[in-house]
Amino acid sequence: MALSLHINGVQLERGGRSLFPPLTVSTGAGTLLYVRGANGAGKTTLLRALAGLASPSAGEVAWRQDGNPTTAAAATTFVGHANAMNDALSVIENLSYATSLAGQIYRPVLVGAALEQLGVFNLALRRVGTLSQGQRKRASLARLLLREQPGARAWLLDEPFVALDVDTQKMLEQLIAQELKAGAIVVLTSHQDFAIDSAKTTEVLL
Amino acid sequence: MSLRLASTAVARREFQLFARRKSDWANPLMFFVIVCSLFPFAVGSESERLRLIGVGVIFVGALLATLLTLPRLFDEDARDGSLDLLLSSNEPLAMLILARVAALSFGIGAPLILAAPLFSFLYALPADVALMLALGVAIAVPTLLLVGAIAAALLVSARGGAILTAVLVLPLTIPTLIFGAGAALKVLFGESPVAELSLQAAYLLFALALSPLAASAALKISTD
Repeated sequence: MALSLHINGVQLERGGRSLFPPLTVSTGAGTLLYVRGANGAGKTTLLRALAGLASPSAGEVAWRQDGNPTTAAAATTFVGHANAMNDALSVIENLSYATSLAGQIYRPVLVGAALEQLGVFNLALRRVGTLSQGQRKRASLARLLLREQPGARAWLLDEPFVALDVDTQKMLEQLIAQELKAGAIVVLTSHQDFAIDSAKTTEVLL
Repeated sequence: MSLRLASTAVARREFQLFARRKSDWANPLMFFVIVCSLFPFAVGSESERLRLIGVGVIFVGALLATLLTLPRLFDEDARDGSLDLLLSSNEPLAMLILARVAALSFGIGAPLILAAPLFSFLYALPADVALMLALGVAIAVPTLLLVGAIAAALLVSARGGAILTAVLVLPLTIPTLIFGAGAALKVLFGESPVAELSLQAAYLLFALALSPLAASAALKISTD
């Protein structure tokens, strides 16, 4: 039950322009990978490449589960700037759709627990269009907690603290720390300061 | 197992959206109603003339109404980020797109299939022609959505994508238009529509086999 990530000489392009010099990083279970860089340095594109949503122009991204190659789809949960929630549907409908596509069995109890942990249980039946930005963000972060078991999936978080209030940010930091302890890999970009209690932190400067 | 789970989820979400936002299926229907009810005013009310143009008008109306919904296929999802969920699924994207198009065909198609025979009475068409028209529209709508999915995937989140999508798809819609309208005309002139109908169905099968694959490839290219 150990996940590892191998970024091998990865180069990414945006509009025909190479974003950063070839990047090589390897991390294993329980590591926080903190991706830093100025605006436009390619942080989001790197995260999308790790999630299998963008393909590198050179090099390769490899996820391994106990040493065996696995797909990014099976190994990761990506929460980006956009919340991946349709405004016309309720929080719970959106989450059910997300879990089914991620190949997980949708269990209402699990979803309820995830929403409870993020403090948005009472919004479960509300349409996403009626929620505030912060509430949407929290609801979309609930996707992270719907993995098979703690630590089973790597979390790819693109600016997760944007739109969150101080208390929620603290709570998310704690959730990340717990997940790291359970053996996950968390890849994170942030322009805000944060304090995550982690045994191993690797910084990548783009 | 999980493919079935995922494609059911895709189709279910489509139906949930149809239930929440009536305009998704009502707008194409209204468009169809407007086109079909304006023509008689423009060309005059002799029933002989109406009968001759009726089949064509109803078929073109249904075709345009369907094309109108193509941007709905991927654009909204690209904007709110849920397209990433579809793309990062472990299941074959082509099958998920197929599930989506199937649900969409049902939601968009069913009202049009019901409306087409009603409007054929406005054009003084006999009942057997009306039924053939409904059948023709029933085959044409999924065909158009399948073919259109390729263009919609290619132009997802492109500026002015809606019009460009329609322009790209237009030539590919012509076979189903010729055969579908042709079958109804054959019935009108008392001949057998089997040849036209078979060709129209063959085109649907062709689109069914190829376009999900093409659309998934296009979607991967355009979102990379």
